[in-house]
Amino acid sequence: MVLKIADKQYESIPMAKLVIRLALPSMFADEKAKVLEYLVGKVTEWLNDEEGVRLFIEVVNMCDPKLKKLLIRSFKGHIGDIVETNNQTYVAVIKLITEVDDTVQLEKMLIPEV
Amino acid sequence: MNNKKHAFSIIFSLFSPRTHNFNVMGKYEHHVQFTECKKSEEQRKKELRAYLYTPLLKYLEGDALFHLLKHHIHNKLIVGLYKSMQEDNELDMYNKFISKVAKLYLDDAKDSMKINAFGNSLCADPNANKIIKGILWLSDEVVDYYCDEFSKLMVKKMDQFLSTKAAFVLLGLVEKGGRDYLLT
Repeated sequence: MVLKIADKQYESIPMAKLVIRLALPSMFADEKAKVLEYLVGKVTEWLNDEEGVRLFIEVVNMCDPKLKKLLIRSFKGHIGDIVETNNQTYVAVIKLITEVDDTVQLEKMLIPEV
Repeated sequence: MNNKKHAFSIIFSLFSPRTHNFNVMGKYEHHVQFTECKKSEEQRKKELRAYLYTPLLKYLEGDALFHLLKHHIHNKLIVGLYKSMQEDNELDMYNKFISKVAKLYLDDAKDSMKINAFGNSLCADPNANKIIKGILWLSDEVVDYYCDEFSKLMVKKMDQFLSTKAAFVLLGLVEKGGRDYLLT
């Protein structure tokens, strides 16, 4: 079902985010890798509400360092917008800056914007 | 307003544990079980804090520190800042910072007394006085000097301290052992 959500690009619908979040931990490794890669690539499109933040936290928890680097790159240039929005998206920034080993990349890309 | 509030939450998360009341991450997840990280959370935060100390201290020069101390939530950043400096062994920075904060309170108390406005001073502010009480409780030579200075001022102007919320600072000093000054 999660792969179908990804195929049809329904990931920005709040209920779809909830379904993905609940399904991710029990997916097979290869399917999970596909979905994670897909979600990381489109993170700025679905991370716009509380359910998005909760999904983001789950995604970061399951990402390997390579995908985390991609996440940091996709946040670059968006921190100002995220901080100004009137929702919980900023929690995703906190999650990212406290869950990545590569603090040098964070220092170069995200910290100056904050 | 949101801009400042959210930016504060992001920065504050690096200066406080997840379980802290004001660290928003604690509401979303208390413990992380799946994250693939080689370094511990504290180590990662410590490395990021190292980049933030200088710009934050620069930001806190001038009026920003005064306004931050009076804010009931934002003043927790000051506590997080000096506690983190101590934990990260940035002792030189730590001494300078607590000395700067304590001096600001002392100077502000003296200046406001001169113009009969002690009730509006940082020491008498219900939010800011908690921070100076916490600092005066620290065991440090620099702090001991300020404990002495505050005690002298309190002895001189006891009525002003007792009739405002600055009495809370006075109580802190008595609890710490500044009693000798107050009795002589």
